[in-house]
Amino acid sequence: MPPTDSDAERAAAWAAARQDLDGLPGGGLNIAHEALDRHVRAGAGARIALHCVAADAPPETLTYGELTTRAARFAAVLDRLGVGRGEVVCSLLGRSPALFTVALGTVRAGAVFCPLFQVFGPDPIRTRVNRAEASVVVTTRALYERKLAALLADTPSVRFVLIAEDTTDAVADAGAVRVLALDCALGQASPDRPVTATRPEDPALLFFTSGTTGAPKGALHVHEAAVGQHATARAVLGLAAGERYWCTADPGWVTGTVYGIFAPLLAGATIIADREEFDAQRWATLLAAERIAVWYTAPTALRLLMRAEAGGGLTWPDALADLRVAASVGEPLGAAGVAWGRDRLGVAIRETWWQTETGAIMIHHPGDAAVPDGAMGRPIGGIQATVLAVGEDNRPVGGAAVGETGMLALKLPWPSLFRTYIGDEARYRACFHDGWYLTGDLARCDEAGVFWFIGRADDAIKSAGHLIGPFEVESCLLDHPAVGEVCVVGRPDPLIGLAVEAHIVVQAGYHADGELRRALLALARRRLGPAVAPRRIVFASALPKTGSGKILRRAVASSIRERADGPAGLPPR
Amino acid sequence: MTDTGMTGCGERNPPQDETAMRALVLDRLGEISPDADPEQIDPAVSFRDQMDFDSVDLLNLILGLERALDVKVPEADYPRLSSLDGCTRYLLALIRMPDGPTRRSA
Repeated sequence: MPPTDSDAERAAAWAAARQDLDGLPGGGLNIAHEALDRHVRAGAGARIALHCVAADAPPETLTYGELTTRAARFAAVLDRLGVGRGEVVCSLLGRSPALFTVALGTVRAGAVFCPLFQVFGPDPIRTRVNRAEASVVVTTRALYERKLAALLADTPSVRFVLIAEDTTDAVADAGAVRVLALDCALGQASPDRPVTATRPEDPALLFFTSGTTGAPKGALHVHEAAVGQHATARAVLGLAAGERYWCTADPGWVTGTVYGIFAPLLAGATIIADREEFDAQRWATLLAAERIAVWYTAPTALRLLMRAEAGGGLTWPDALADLRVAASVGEPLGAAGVAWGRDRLGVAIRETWWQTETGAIMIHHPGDAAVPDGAMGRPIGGIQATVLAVGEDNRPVGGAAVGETGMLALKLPWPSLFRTYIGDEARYRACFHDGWYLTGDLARCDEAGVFWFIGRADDAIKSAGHLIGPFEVESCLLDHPAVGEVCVVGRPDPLIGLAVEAHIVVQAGYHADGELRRALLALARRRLGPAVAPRRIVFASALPKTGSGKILRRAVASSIRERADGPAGLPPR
Repeated sequence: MTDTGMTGCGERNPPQDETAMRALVLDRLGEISPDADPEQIDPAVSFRDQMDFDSVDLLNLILGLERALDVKVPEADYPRLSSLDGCTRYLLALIRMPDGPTRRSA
């Protein structure tokens, strides 16, 4: 392996990156100040920060100056509601000016911003809101009525719900929870509310992620994360002031918030946000029409585009003359995808690897010939990665040999590393070993120091780029009286990586038929939402178990891989 | 033995009228999103805008309809199948094409 930087050299690299930010008097740091006020003070208040487009409504554009004012107003709203520093504000919102206002205003006020995924069902929402002990949830009227209103009796920490993008101000309170119209509250709030003088180690962002067992983990990040977000936005995505940038990730996931909101604003870029969900033709058209220079998207979306193109259902604009950088995250895209990008987009798609816990991109493919297509790539400046050999329990037992598969680990520390899993210090501590962060991902490193992704070391399922905990899905299905035993695994799928599949042994007295399948799917989708619910239910007469009766998830998963009956999420055509 | 619930393909007698075609679409929809109440579906509004229905669901619905009718829907036409009315109208027109639709099994 080539020599790596020393601890001192890496520390110096991050110290230099920290100098690119303003900071607050007395050594303070606030992400929202760095993302907005810093640019306004430097005279860039008239630069466009956000250009939000929709299918059937005119685009909305906000300058850095306007977005700063909106964030200040939202911070003032939190003051007026008595929501203090360190309290958690959850958003259940899509890409919209309101989302940016809430995310930046929350962090400006010294509170903690926690995004939730709109297509979560009630169960994942309740679990996360309660683990976060959120004080405020901001959402739309439709999502409030469809999902949130019925939950509020079971979320004791929530004091306020703010309804965004709704002109009617008469919203009924729900029990002890005050329900208020966001726009009305913003209109009455001061636009001059200053930035709270947060310290670099004060909490700022909370993202939920999943493991094999237990409840979802709330990874807490601090204001210091701005250093890593800013440095990677510039070094990996190549973002600079005024650059037109489109991140397609949903803000309910870590990418959609870190690289959809904060990192590009830290770099002074112009964010193009699309309110709509994936549509192949719309996306191809948008890339050209919005003159996107930097595009950050996911392998699932790229594969859907490739599929649409192969089926003749996609007309590409004549040229994507402005596109300079395309990058992808969530799961490996693979050499074929990279080659497609070179051919179709005119740029090599740069694969990036990072996690909720790492807070920023850690390993990337620079998109040049020095790294083979399909590889993860190399660590960014300031990061040292290695592969550790692990025992049966996934704990390190020493370094892995060149080319040997093992646990990917990163040398501590770096600024955007998470600081805890809220309410679960033991699981947090288990992530570290002898000065290294254990990623839970399996990889190998070749002689040239290039890393190659292998898969998860645990049983979390990576589906369409999102990590899904089998436990959360199994717990829901076990609530159905017909379910005796259940094992949820990922089934290889050509488009979404892994499709969530539930293997179920039915209780005596119930019939494993189509009616029961639909009932179980309905239960899971209603409670978990389509992003988490199984795409497919398989009835089995028995599940493989250990001598002590524990279900052997690995055996169920490998039996799927061995059966050559095609993918589940999308049957072969 | 496992039962995966894959249903048979290629209806011998595809639905010829709107009522029957709508019933078929609702049946396929029920396989993917049984949480949606057919009575509550607004036929003119896209599935996505009235229920939790993502890109993969939509693709699975179209592939399920292709199998059920033994037809091939060109990718360019996918957006036209985003609502119940859209599916019904499009698929009726497809199977009534003078030279017959492109067969999935062809």
